[in-house]
Amino acid sequence: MSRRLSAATLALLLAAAAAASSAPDWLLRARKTAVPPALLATDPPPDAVYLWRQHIITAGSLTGATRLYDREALEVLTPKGVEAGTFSTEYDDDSSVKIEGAWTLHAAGDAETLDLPQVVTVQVADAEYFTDQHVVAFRPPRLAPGDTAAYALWRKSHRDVYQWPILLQSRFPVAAEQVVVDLPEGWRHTWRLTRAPAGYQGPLSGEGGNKASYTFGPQPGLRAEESAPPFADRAASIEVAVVPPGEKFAGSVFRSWDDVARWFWSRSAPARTAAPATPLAAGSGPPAIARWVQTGIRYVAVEAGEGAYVPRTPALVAQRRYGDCKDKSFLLRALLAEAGVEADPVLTRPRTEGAIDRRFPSPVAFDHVILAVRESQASGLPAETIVSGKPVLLFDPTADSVPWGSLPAALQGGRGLIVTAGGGTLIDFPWAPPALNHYRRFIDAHMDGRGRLVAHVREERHGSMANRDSYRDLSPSERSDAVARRAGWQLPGSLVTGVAFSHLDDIGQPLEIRYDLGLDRFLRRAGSLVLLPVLPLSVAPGRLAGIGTRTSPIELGTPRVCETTETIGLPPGMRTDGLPDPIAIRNDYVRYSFSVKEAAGRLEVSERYEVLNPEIPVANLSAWRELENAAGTAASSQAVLVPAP
Amino acid sequence: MLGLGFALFGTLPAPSHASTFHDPTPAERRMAEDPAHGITGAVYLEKAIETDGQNCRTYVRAKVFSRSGFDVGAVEGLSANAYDVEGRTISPTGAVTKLPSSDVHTTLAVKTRGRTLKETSFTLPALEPGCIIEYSYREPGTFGSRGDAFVELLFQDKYAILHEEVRTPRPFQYTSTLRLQNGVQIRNREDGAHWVYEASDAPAIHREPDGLPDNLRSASLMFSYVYTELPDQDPSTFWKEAARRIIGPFFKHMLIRPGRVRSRLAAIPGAGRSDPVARWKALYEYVRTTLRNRDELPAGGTPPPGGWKTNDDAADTLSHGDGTSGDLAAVYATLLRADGWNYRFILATDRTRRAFFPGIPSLSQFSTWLVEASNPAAPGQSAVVCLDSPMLPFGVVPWYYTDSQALAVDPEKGSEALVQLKSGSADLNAQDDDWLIVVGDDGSASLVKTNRYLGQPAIEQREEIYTKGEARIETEQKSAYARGAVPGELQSIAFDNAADPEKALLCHIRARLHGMVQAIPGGRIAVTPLALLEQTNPFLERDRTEPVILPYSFERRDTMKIAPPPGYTVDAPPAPVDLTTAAGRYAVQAQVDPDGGITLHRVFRLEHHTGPAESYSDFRRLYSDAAQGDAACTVVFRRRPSPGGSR
Repeated sequence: MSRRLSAATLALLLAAAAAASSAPDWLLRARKTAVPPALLATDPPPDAVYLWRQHIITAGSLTGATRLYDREALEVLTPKGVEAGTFSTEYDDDSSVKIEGAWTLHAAGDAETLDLPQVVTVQVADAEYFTDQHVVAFRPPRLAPGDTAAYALWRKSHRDVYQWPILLQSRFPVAAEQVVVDLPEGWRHTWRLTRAPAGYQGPLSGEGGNKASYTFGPQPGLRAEESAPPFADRAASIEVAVVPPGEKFAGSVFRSWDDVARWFWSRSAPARTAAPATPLAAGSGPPAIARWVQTGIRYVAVEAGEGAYVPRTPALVAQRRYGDCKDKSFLLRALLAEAGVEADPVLTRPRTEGAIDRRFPSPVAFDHVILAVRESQASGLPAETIVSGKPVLLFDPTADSVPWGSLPAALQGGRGLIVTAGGGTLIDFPWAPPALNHYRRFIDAHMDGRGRLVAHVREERHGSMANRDSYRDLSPSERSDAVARRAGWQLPGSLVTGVAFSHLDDIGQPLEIRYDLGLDRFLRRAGSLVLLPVLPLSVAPGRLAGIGTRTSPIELGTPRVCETTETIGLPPGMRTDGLPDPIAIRNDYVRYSFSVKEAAGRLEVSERYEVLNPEIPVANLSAWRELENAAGTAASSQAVLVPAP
Repeated sequence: MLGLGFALFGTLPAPSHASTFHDPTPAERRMAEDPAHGITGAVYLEKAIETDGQNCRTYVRAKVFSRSGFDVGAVEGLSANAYDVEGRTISPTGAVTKLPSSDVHTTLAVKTRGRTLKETSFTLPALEPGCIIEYSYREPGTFGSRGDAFVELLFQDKYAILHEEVRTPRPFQYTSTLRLQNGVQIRNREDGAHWVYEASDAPAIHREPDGLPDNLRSASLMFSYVYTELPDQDPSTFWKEAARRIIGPFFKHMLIRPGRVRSRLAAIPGAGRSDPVARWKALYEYVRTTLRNRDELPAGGTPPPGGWKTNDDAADTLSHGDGTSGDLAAVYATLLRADGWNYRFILATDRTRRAFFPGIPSLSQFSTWLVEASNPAAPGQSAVVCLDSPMLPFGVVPWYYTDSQALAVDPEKGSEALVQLKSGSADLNAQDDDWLIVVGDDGSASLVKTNRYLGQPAIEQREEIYTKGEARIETEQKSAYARGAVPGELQSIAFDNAADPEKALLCHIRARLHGMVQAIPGGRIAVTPLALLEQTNPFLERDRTEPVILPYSFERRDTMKIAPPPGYTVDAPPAPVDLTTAAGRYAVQAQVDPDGGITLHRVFRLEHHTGPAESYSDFRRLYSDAAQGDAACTVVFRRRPSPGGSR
């Protein structure tokens, strides 16, 4: 019994008590929404469909406080769809949530209301990541396929800015939805669609007065797909910016990126102080200072109240020896200033969270801070970019495995807002050239007389391919296990020994991993034939599921080069009778090659995979299939061996 | 679970004995990482827990060697009422940074149904390799956030502990039990008005796959609360008294008089049979199929509006038509008794989480109760049933309740006995998979497959179907086929006997597989069909220090017929493999079929699912050989000679 108690804690918590009731009128109307058959005719069919979604934006004319009303009605189509009936929202120290009600409208027409004390609230916090964010979750009672789950809530905030991006799509189809603006007299708003929603023919942006309503027709569901762009980039959204009359509540209005920059500049004033004392040697240069901030200041985020966006003073951060991204950035800024180097904070977010929309200036676009270090002359480093005709070097003091001169992979190709006293500049971050993100695997192998593969493997990892974060905080035995698991995934039954890491903490050098690998019965005997798989460890990417029905582009990640260079000594007394054919493909996105040749009783195998372009559009998925086929053929290639004369 | 109340303690003054922060010794300053002795990341220099029975003080001092040891400085899960929280970090150069009280956070763990659970957490400042941290805090309650009725204090942790001390009042309302292992000696002594337990140089816990849960790997000190109803704490007599005074009466209270179920009993199909086992089975089927199990609802199942009604006894359960698995067990026992059979409740423990130690006088050691039926006229004729799930067949207990000690209690006699439920042999836990793979001209293949599950594999599969629903299983399988070792598309999946646990569970699959064929030099083609099984080896380490504990013994038999593309015939069958270790057997035999195809017969048998650390190589070899053998099993086909031609 206790076994299930723990396994189903959330289910039990959400197993809500209920009372028989009548459903609100809007829910009864929503239930009658016609769902176009095409919305449900997908493979696989959806587990649920939104019949109706409504978002209402309001503001108080005296207080400026905002209220966002949400109403949603979701029809459960399958048993799995019941999970979609678990709704959630959140609040923090400066806001509150009121759940007006949650209902189940059963297929038979009777309704039940959620007993509101059943709502579950948890705080997102632990010792090293403490926030004031509270997640509120609830599920209308006794949901079953055929039922409609619905809720109405509002969220009141005193600290909101007046910009809201609202997703118009979900992983489930949406039959109908409405965004309503209901502001006090004299207020205005502007709006923009990030892309045209399905069936939408009108303009993509516009302005309106204090009251407006935007309705949208059926939107297809966006199912999860491997290696897809972030959901926010796949879905159509409407971005609404509220404009109070005159200069009222100016602190919450952002008409330009300069406004955003000025907001952060003023908020960060307490952190723009002189450099504190540190253990750094006098005369340390920027790379050494930056490295100390990366490694000497532990990442601990205390993001409650203003702590979510106001950096702490460099003195406090240096004393605690911990801080979050903005704390580290402002400490580094102060230390660089002391060394005579100017740097500006850059607001950004990882590319994986979606692209920052240039045309929607708002602080809500950001959740990370790095630095733009002003250079006296161009350095040519990969993280260098030109701003207003002058070179700056982007640097992330939080990414402690990324050296001076480089950007973390998740930021390459992203955007950020450089904040200065005079305003802000939104810039595109550079990609590092493929050659800098280089993975080389050298395999020196031979077959013993019993068909056992004995190999010494050396991996050399440069740039973002070093992936140090995966290993650095592990114990030596955990690191060995991780390497063995990785090898075992490609070569089931293999035994990995002698794992050794070099330059794990020295990020100026490529990370090296060495190990010995053994695998019995590697040589395959079928009757009189002896087959030798020639590419035991491939560097090509794995297959993607559902490529035939894929609807989103394929994200290949940072441009990079991955290579295998391998020699295999043939088993004693054997020679080759046939070698696999070479393979070479190239398209706009990837380049892949594989070849085998024999020389002096050894096979020399080479494989090379290069990402030329970080994304394959949906229209060109054949480029991925071409890669998959080539890599799959190479990975299963075998040489035929016969006894040597 | 057993309806026993716990004493509630108020917040009283903290224990007077308390360690104070002290500066590192020169030896501690010099201490360095020593991987050869398992000292990496960090080391606990000292851990101390002191309770006065009403409040508890914890004191910890640790040295951090590297970044991977920084987690010793993050402290979570303390009572929200923790107080006197203090901490400091001493840098390698001797600089002291105190933990400010403002950096001690209280978080909302969960709030629902009018109840709020909060926790206290903090992280020490100024961590850097070579620093030494110290912190202490007090919590209300005998053992603070560690619990109250039954508390396990581990004397081993992720990092080595140089000295650990637990100090309790003397006398104390708890009994203590030691679990000594891994060379850790926990010494017990009197110190005035205190009992003191201490240990030195406890090595770090070494985590290994498929072994004991962490709490059982560690040397530990366990405390059991002494209830006033059960003052006798002598383990040799405790369970007798507990059965007579607490457990037996509790179960009897759950049952109802035979007269109240007589007519119901008469109406149960099969309950009138002469064979005792058939009658027990009929009663079990009645309970299983007519009463809804609140603990395991089917996919999409929900509690009724207004929540579940309270079941005080079997009459309530029968009246409401549903109950917890404990309620259902009480109904089954009621029916057995009314039908004239002997019965006992067996209090069992989920061995993946903990173990029942008879030497520990605590009632808080059990996970469930099972019911044993026996024939008073035929000693030895008995059957044990588990009502945790409606998908369990009669007389079969889930594997996690087997192979560990359990307590049988006869409520009628007020007697008790230690028992051990044995897991079934590999023959009883079988999976038979029949495959037909027809390879096409284009290298893809059609797959028709039937899986037949018996015993524990059937229970696991059936429960998954019951709780997830067939549609969700199909979705998951589609994804699994799409990303399999040989990727493909699942076309259909269907089950037979999914709701009848007394029959073998059958699963029928149709799929299309791509890239099944590899062209090899010389115009031949090769397939490695056993790669479809995706056999893995969980045992990657060369050596092992802990016993191997897998869920259960089993045998998996695969019969795989492969039809080559038109015009092809078997050129070279794979060589046979037959490997046996003390843990089990792996074998592959090939048989060339008259139609030009080939049939592979593969057996993987885990004969023993547990073994001491010394037997590790047997388990490792078995799994490793199977993984390698499957990957290496290659069938080569060649074109048939055309009439009058040569190949």
